[in-house]
Amino acid sequence: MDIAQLVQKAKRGNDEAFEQLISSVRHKLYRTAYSYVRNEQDALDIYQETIYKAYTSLKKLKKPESFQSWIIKILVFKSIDFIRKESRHFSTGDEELFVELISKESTDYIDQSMDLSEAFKFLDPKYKTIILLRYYHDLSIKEIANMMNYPEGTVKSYLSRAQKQLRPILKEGYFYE
Amino acid sequence: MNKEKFIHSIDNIDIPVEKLVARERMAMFEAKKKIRKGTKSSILIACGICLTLIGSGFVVPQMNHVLAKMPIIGELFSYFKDSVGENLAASQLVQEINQRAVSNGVGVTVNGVYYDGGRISVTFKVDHFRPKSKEFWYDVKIADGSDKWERGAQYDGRVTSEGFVGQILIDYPNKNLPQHLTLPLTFTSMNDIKGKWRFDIPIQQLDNKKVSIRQLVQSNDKAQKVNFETMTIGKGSAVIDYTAIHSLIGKSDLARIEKVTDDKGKEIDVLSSGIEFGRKKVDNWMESEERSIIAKIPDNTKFLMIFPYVREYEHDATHSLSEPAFKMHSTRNDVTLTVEQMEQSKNELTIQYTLDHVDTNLSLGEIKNFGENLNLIDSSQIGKDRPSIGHIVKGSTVKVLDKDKLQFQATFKLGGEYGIDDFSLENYSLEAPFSILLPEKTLPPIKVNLK
Repeated sequence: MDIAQLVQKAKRGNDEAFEQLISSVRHKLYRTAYSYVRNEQDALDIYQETIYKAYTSLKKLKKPESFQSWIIKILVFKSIDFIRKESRHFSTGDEELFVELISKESTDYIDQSMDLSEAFKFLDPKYKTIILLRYYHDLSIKEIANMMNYPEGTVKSYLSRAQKQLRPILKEGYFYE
Repeated sequence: MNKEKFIHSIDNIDIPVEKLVARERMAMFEAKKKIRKGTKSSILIACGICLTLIGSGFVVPQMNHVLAKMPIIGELFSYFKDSVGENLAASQLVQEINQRAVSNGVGVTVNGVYYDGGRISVTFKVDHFRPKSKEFWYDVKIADGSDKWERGAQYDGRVTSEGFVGQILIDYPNKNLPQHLTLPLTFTSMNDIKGKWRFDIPIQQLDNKKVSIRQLVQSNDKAQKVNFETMTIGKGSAVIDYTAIHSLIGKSDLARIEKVTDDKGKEIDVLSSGIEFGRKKVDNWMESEERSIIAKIPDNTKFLMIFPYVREYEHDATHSLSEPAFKMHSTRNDVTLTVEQMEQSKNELTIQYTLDHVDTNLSLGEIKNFGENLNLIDSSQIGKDRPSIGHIVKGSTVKVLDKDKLQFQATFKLGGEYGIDDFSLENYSLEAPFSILLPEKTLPPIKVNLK
């Protein structure tokens, strides 16, 4: 059944329809939450809060066909809020270490095996959000701009700054944009 | 390395499916409990359990204790990261009030209000409240609960060391800003406790200065105009009122403020951009009265620069796949998409295409992104808001064939969960979102003298 019809059914209180909707985005939602907090427990908490919020506010969803981007937006905001509240996942210490890492001329300093998930951990949450929405959720720059209420220019500059931040760690041009 | 590897690294995150399903059930259970309690408690509300105490004269000793423990107003704004509120509190411009209402044993005290320029803030604290969750949330109806109030409101709730506090920030939804008003607020739940906490909050607008702007800027092609009218400069924020004027072809375009800088070139935060009061057709134009709100303008600023831009939209174009090669056009600029050849295998359709007259400011990534958003759609479903699953393939994987000639290859997966039930070139069309290739139009900045 099509997403919009499922949303209409779920809005009328059909839990099975709601479960179907969630199962269509389950993996993406969890992995996005995990990308922010890097641990299962916190990712599960964010996931649960997102589902709660989606269930209680589904009636307010005006365009049923945009269910997926609507719930991703809830999750992204919950994740950012979580990081802000906890502020333990991206402490100033991390940021300083990161600046130190990228300012080193010698790439030997950086562990050869440092993988993307490690590098990604150091990114500022706002860049993380843009990268996830753009490359993982495949949203266009325009869609991200609408979702986050940023001008497109801001999205583009965040993207390019995020890519610049990732590049020295990854040593290779990671994104081809 | 490329995007695929990035996606792969995220897709490598293990999915604890059972735990996720359990969390879903818990979330739905909690949510349902909340919704169910809502319908039952309405009888209690009708019994007149609600009690509103206005002013400290009615305050019982227990409540004095509550108020004594309340964080001071300035601290509240820092919890909510509201810089306008923090500034106003520092200048003692936040109106302190103590209105308390009790329902179902839970007390809500509205303790501070400000109305600066076009923005209203109401802060409150909740007492005798012991939720099971570590989170705090609430439902509230602002004024008559109509959409215009909802759209312009932001809600925040925090659990602090001193209790549960909340802030409602409202962008006043009408163009005319009254100097004072009484704002009805009705809270209907605190987490899963339903009730009715009703307040009529007297609000006085802080002193402000009106600056007449009267400047009209337009895009080079004269298709979009923004007529800047006035600024209302409050104590901690400022309001910019303008009318965005779009040609009819761009009746859904959005005019927004990208940034505002002071006379030293320092950016002033745009707090809300594009609060719309309604669109109307005037002759051959679509006019939209709008407002943006910016943060505090530093004292002694001589002038401001306002940088507007327009985001254009057009309907997705479609063309039947029954022809082996064809051309599609944007309706807003000269961009064309030429399909040169198509190859269909059992599970895939590959389309080779070239783009011409693409704006030179767009990056290859953005141009490629256009291809990633091409759809295959059942021709009988064109124009429908929601094409049925099994009748559309959303998006493709794009390979750059020649970046100078802007030649690409898009591959659509016909099979699988999101595939097409019964694909045929005769019955399907290519859907192209040319909006993605419309660059944002920067309008000339305007200078507003403040002295």
